[in-house]
Amino acid sequence: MASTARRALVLGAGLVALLVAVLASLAVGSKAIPPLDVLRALTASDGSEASTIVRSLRVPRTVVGIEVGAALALGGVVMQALTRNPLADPRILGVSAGASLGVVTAIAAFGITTLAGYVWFGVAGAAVAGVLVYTVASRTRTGASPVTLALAGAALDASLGAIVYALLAVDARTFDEFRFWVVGSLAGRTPATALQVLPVLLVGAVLALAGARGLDALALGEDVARGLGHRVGRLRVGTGAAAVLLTGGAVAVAGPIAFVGLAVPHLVRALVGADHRWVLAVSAVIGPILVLAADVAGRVVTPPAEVPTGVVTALVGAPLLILLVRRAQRVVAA
Amino acid sequence: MSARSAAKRSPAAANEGVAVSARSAAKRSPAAANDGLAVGADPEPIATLPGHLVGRAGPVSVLVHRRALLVAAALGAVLAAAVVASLSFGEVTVAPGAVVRVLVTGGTEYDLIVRELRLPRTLLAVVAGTAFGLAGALVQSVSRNPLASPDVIGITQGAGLAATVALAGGAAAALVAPSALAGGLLAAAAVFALGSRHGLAAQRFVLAGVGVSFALRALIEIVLVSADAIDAQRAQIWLIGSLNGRGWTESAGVGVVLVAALPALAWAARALRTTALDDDTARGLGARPAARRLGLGAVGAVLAAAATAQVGAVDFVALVAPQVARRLAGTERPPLVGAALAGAALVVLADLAGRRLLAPVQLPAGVLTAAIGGPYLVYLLVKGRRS
Amino acid sequence: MTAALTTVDIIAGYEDRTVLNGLSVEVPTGRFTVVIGPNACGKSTLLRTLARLLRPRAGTVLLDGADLHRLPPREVATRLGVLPQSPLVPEGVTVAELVARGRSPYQRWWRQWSSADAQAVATALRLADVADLAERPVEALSGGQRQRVWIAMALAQDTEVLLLDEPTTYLDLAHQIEVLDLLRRLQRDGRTVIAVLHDLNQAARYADHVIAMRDGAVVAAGPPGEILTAALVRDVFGLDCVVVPCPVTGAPLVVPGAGQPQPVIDEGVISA
Repeated sequence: MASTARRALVLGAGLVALLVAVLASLAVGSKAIPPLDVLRALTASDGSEASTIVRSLRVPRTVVGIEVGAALALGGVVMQALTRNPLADPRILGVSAGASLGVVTAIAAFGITTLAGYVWFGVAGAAVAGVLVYTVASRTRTGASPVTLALAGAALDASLGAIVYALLAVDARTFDEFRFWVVGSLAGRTPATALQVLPVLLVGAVLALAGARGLDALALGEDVARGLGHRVGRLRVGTGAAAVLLTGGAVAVAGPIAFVGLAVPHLVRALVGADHRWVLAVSAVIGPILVLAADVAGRVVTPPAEVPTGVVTALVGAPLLILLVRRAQRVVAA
Repeated sequence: MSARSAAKRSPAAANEGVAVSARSAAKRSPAAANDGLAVGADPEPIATLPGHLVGRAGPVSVLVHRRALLVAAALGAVLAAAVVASLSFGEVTVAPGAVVRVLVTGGTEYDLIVRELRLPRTLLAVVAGTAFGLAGALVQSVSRNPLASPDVIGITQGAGLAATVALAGGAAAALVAPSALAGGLLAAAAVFALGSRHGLAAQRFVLAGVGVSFALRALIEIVLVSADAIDAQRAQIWLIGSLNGRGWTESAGVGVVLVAALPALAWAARALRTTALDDDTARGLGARPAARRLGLGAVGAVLAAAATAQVGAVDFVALVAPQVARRLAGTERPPLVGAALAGAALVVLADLAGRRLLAPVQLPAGVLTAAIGGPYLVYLLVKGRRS
Repeated sequence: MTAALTTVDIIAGYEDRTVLNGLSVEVPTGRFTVVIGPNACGKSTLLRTLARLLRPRAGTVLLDGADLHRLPPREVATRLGVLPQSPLVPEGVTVAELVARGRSPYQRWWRQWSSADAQAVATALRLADVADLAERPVEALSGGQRQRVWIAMALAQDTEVLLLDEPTTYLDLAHQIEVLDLLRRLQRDGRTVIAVLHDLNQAARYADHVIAMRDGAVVAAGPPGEILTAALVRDVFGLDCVVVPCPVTGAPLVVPGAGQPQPVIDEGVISA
């Protein structure tokens, strides 16, 4: 059990690392810009090429990266706590697929092209998927086993994915855009985008933090949580809404970036223990670091082409998932 | 002392006493077993199991679940009707009577349409659906979970990844199916390897499958991103699963595997009787549970990979068909024959609907199965696992 | 006393620990043997090794003189019937169907339901007194009924030996007695019954032969009247008690307590 001093240290170190990541995100790219120029470009717009790149391309991209990283990480923490399943993640529980379906429906069926327009479809899609998964989770008194939940999420992901691909198979052009969107990428996000999704994410973050204590109790079991005075039904709805808002918003902005929601909670819990106030706070810092690092890596690996952020996280996250499955297997009874 | 033991003896004890000596005698001479046990106390024994039919000829006997038999017959009829419908409907509607005549005797004006155009595709739907249904029944029994299916435990994704790589890499069309088969089998091997500690226990095996499946899906998306637009589109169509433009060769591809698997399926029908029991009880009955699970899972994996390789990832048939058969038959695990027939009927009908529903626009069969399977999955999730 | 099952110097355990270290035990034929001991003393491990559910790392288990773990599983299943702890009930299966599973060791793909099978199932249902429940789903039964159904399945196997791992846990008292009475009837029929029990007094009441274990070794073995003493209980369980004759059966009755005479309050008069 980490002491408060140690946790504060982790948080502090995290913030420093985040600053470094932000700087890297602003400086690195097909055109590398030295850090001092970056700082100068941030403070005053002097019309130089470096300044344009930094201000109009990389700053929004970085901001979106921070937003999305924090949102996915927080969403992952909440989902893992709610379902008491170490493998829960917006992707694995099918919630990302729901959000994707919402977004694609908005674009393809209703022709909505602004983020402000289709972000709510994304949230709605995430909500539908979230409700389904929640229903499975609350089926039995003790909650669904991790296996059933994982299966339900996988099947939901497959079914929603099939519908999305079906919608797109007939429309080649949209499919061509979609296949890049679906891996998740920060490229080309505008300042407007970053601003429009912020309220949704903030509400989600606040709801999640408000439920932190309740999530601690829920980890001991519903009956124990009730015995400790928590209103379990309300808690579930509140934190569930948080997960949906966070995931829906993040997916609407950057596409369903894989495995951030899975990996960050495990990493953070290993560093600061299981107290959800700390886990949430530190996850909101570590998540962006991960996303920005993946984004930066994607920029430098195969210049001048970029590897989308989601591809990097998927390549790193897939083996990690297998590792976590092996660990979870030991917990699951034969 | 004797009063105490007498007080404890139940009135039936006298009968028990007779049964004891009869039993011990029976142990020495198995041939006398029937006679020995029949002496004295036993009431008229139940000649059959309630709900089952027994066929006996000398030492050979066969036990069949009555309702499962009826369901199989009904599903067979549904399949026959679906096949006839599939052969009848199209740009040119051929009356069912004419269809039958073409199949049986031939020599009508519809020969070309029915025999050359529609029959190959319909036959493919039947064999692929059979393979999917069987694979699903096997995987669900081994996993002891109605939500499990080759689609979600990695086999379909493995085949999909291999096919996507082949298509995106511009490989010859003839190479796609074998690559997909290899990919599916490799993925299955990986899942077995991951889940094999502690003897392939059901939950661990499923968990491993989910993990592999997600990892593979991420990789598929990566490949789709790196390919050029046209190759990516082709790969995507393959991934949804379609019977368009496929026929005799693909049917043969699946058919050969089905026929080769028949002995294994006959074994599976008996081996499945112990999969729902826990390992200790199964061992107490003389079975080897881990070996059985491995064998059954392997047969399921091969069938699923073979079918996916030929028609693409027609999702949900392997999930839905066994469960439909099981609910209709009222058995505790999906009946193999019922699942096969239900799977075949499902794919035939899905393909037919895809062809005709929005004609002249052709929807791939995989879209229809997802459209049926998705809501059914929701229903399964909401209703819970109790049947 | 002839031994149906014998272990010779077995070393057995699970992947992270060894539980039995060179244990030799004899289980008498045709008797009701009960294994008792505190938690984690190895009684379940012993039973599972005897039942061929666990393979010993060293040593042999003999069934009528033959090495149990070398015999084919099917043959063993016709001679040993096992009821493990917490067996899984398959969803939707009826009592008759579950009991019929007990016939699998005798069945072949061409002999799926012989008249011997039908006979054995009928007898098993009657012996376990669940014949009137034959067509009901097992999940709908009470704990006691369900346990009797599992015993009926083991009976349908028509074995000489029955091994049961804690058959009375999670049952209420009436059902516990129900099950134990059935086991004794089965033993009186000529079977060898071995059970792991938690309750010392039930062991004393029903067993012909008690094996008391602690820390993977046998502390004492013999008829309950002989070996069940306060000294044994203190030795095995670390509990002070008084052993008195049971007023119903005369078997030893273990009463926890220090054994000092307590003051008796009788109509306001205290006497020692």
